[in-house]
Amino acid sequence: MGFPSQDALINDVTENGQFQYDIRFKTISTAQVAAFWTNLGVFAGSEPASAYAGTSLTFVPTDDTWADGAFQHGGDVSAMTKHFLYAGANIVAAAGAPWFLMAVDQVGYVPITGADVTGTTGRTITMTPIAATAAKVDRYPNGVGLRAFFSTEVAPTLGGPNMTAFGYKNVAGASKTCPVTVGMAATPVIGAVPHSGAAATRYAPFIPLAAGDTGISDLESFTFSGGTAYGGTGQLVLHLVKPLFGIPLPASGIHQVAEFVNALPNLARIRDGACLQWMLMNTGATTANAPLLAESAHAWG
Amino acid sequence: MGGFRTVKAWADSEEDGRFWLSFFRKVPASTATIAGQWFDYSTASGVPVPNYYASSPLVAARLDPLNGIFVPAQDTPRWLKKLVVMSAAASVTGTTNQNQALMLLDYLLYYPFIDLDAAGEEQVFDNTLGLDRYTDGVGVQMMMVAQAPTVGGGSYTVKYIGSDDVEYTTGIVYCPAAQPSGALCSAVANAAGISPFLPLNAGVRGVKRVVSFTVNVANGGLAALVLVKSIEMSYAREECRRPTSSPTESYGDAAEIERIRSRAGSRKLEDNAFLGWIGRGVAGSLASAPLVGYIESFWEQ
Repeated sequence: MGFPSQDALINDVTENGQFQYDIRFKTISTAQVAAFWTNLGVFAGSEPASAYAGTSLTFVPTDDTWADGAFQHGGDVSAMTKHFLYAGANIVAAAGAPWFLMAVDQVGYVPITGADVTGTTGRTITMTPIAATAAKVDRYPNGVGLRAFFSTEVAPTLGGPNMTAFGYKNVAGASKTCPVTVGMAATPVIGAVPHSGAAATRYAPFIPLAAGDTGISDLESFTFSGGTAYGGTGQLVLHLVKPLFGIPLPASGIHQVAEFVNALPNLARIRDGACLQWMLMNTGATTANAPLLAESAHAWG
Repeated sequence: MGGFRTVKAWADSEEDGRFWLSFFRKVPASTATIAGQWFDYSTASGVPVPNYYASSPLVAARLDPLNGIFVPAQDTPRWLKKLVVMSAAASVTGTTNQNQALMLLDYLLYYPFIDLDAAGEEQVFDNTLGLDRYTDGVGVQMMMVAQAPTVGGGSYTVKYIGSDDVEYTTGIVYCPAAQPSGALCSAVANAAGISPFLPLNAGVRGVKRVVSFTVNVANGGLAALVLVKSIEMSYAREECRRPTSSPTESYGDAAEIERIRSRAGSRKLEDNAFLGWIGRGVAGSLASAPLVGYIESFWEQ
């Protein structure tokens, strides 16, 4: 399904009522650090701040019914398909601009707590591999297009290790490893993606995949070793997401709109069950309590 | 035959997970650059890490693609899909980074630590290492990058092998009045720094390798001669900033280029490509003004 023509799209929007407009917001309550990416899921807003509950190293699938709160995009529409028509956003902050805002569909996450943050030996993740069924967690069949990143739920109090191994299964079910060593920042602030920032071997926002791999069907393991081990009572989160679209935000208060009907590829798809979340790249140090406003419209047909 | 034969094949890259988002945030040092001169952002700090062209003097060397704007290696050819660029002002009142022409380059080979004071001496290069991409030299250009601040006002000639395997010597190339480290040292006349690349002889389509370098008039400083292939042009029209005193309007602009739709075809990103930007500040210094953005790339099936 989808829109076989511009006429079909116009008809679905204007005659059939297959259209929804949304405004979402987040308050970036903790000041962010220049050059870092931020997972905005930790901040309150139209969806509450997520606690990323669960058992350490055990995958938690997420969809539009996620208890922590997810963007309500109108429920399932299969066998039709749902697509973004446009989106716009702005941030008001004394510092931090310019920014990039990225919408992602979070398929699930892995809480990482206690000794799994501070440990320097390999950690094994428990996860049922993503398959190609009708289950919501399988909305990207065999994980096609999925990417992974870490974020900070509670900042470690010291350290800055290297991630010397990151194991995953690709869409064919083959075990693979990240081809590079990834540096993790010392004491990343809440929300920060620890493998971002202005330093060597930070590959942000997503963990690099082996050549030819088009997605992740299973998060298998990671090892923080070398550098300085994380200390204290930090909590990290490993996210599994599909990037959907990005919007550059040049300066405080400038509302920037991205139009997707005429883009190529166009009309980023919102799959049934999509758990829409936001990531933000901070050029400067974004001021505490900066508000983000994001609007979007989508249609289905 | 490779490449994408249809719009559908192009769009399917994203649907099939054959895409990667590569981010950069480069911040030139606080040393002022000079209006009209080109600046090599690869030498600036940030993401990716600064490139100092640090290797054996006068010996051809290659840069590690992991230290350029990171586009992961793939088993099939990679293509440029989208570019987004913004230039943040160095301060809330800074405007000198506006109207900045930008060029995305693949840095192929370089010859470091040329002595720009050695007037009359032919400095012969070691070409044990050659081009590993664009090996026919077609479209390959030479640029001179200051590795240390220079006095300026010098001139030089370069002996090189063209894409037709014939040895040529350039006409006299002039240096601008002075160059900070990272600035490009080529001008059409003394004190006029408007040429990013060294002019080739009539009818020559590119450079295979460089034989030697001869200073005619001492310029002071050290420089690297870099062989590059231009990939894309962009333009930072307005600096991104918001003054804290009246007038408190926000200023800023994001330059977006989408291949296929806003530019014909695409540009291939060769294996081992080291990607970086050069920019030309026309309104004044680029010092401390972050250049941020992302590259989206697709790869073939």
